[in-house]
Amino acid sequence: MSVVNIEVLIEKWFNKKISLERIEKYCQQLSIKKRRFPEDISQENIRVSCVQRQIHPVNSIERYIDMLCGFMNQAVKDNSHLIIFPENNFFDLFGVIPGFHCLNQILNKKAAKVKDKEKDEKKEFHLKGNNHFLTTIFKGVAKPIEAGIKRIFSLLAKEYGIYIYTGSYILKEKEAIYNAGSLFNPEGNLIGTQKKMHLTDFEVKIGIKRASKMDVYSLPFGKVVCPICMDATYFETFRIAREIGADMVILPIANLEEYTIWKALRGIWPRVQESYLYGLKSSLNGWIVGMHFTGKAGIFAPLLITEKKDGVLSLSPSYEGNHLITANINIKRLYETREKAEYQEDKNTEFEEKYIEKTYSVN
Amino acid sequence: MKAASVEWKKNEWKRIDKPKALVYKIKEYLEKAIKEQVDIIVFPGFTGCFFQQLSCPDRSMRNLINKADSREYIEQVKELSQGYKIAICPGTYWQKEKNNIYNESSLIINGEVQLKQRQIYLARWERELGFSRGVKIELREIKDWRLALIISTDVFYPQVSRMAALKGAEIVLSPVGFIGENNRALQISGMWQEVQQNQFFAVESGFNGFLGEQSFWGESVIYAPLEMTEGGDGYLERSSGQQSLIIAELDNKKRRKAISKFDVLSQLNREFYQQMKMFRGR
Repeated sequence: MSVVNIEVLIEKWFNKKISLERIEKYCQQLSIKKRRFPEDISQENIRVSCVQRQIHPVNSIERYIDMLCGFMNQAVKDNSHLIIFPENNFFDLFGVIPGFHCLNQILNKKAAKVKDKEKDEKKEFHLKGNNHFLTTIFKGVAKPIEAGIKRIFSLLAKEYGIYIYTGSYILKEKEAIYNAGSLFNPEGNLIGTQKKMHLTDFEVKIGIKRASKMDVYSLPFGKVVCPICMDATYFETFRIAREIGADMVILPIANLEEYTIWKALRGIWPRVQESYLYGLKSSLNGWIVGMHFTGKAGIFAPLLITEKKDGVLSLSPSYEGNHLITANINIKRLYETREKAEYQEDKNTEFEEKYIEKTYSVN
Repeated sequence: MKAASVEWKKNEWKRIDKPKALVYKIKEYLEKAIKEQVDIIVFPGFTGCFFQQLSCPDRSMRNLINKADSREYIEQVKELSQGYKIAICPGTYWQKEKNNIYNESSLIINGEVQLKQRQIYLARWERELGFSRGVKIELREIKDWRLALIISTDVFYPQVSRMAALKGAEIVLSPVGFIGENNRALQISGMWQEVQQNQFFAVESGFNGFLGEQSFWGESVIYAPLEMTEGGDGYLERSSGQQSLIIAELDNKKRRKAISKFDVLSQLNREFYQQMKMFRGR
């Protein structure tokens, strides 16, 4: 069977298993207690929740919605205005592929054994074996999953009366695939979709394309941008975020590496310190098809406006498992802190003139 | 390449009461480094300013700046450098040019200033005191290694490190000194993370003395990309406030291997960066 046929077959299968009718019907059945988005929100009392969750392949879209609702319920109970789901927030849906659970278990066990023996070679072993297979799968599932995720989160945002960042999913445009995530308002309307702009080696290998533009979205309590994971390894992303007026950076992650605090420190935390923005990080962890993802959810701010002067407002206690972390953020205070910053916020127009041309060899 | 970084505790700075005593102390550390076959040594940020303070009866910060003159200090270090086969970064000093005052550093080898670097961005206290800004960053090749100097406040401006990295810097020498409450997190948000996002080596030397009424702090550290450090923490050596001279062998082969595991600069998105308005041509 040709690759195209496999892709088409997968697409058809996913269209059937995660049909919009099925999603709508189930969401109606859930009889969620409708909540109105609080009208008294201001820039000084914003409450945000970031999801950290473990991959748990599901055999039906209903179980996937149940899992999401668990986090939604908790965020609403915590009086959050915004909830953020992690990168690759769709991995669990591979569970609807016949025979997936068995294959997944075999690959995970095999990888865990190799991991114990040869840490460095583990990743190569699996990626080499799975690249082509994963590209086909991703292309096949992209359209149905995008449609399904958008419908689910639109309905949940409306029912729970909350802003939701969907976490990232595979977006297919023409024949290109991207890693992208969407933002919904409490009326259930799509605010925008942002594609990832810096890729990992793994994503390059499986044919994911990158975007070259970042949009800022105005919410009633502040402006947000939604780059993804590796985008936070590059100061340029946050420099642009600041320039286009962002106050908060939503950053879903799923790190394909063993966790250490030092690896984690290469991402959003230093970016928040240098750019004077709030950083809201959600995270996916666990095993799937022999790959191990780790990472802590966290809410970060410039050192000066955190109690312990460590830049952390809230941080998950562990890099594995399910956690919902919540914190208050205050945009007015952020602006005041920028005015007082000792080591940031200076400008040097002469040095910055033609910086792009001088630095990146771009004409 | 073997690199060293100096850190003197506050009480040691307090004991230095004359310019001659400081020169003697520098000499003492050059000798220690030579014994360990060090190729390059970095002294703390503001060491040159401290030298000037020692010969200034009125030690208020503003007065020191008004009388800024680094010539004597540089001459002393140049003279010392003739006696030792080692590249010396003498920390920073205030350099007057016309009516402008810069925080500057340099690399001195065998009696000659081989590289100069002015601080490009200013801290709030430096802005308030009317300092001027440098406008460029240059590299110098020493023993087949490309070196850059990134001074004090510039460690918090990633555009400086990025430019140095893309010009090919393999080692960054960084004399620093911070004001305010001693906070390890602040220092991590500086050169530690610049090393991780640019994957060069950095030799940072922290000033724990005082200038006028202003007290400074800073740990001395030698950094490398995470993947090549023993603890996976990006530290090749650090003083932890306990050692006055830290030394590390900088292995470029290991650095390249580390980069091959996690190559940050290979995924730069130049098309995207054209969205940076601040840096567009004016």
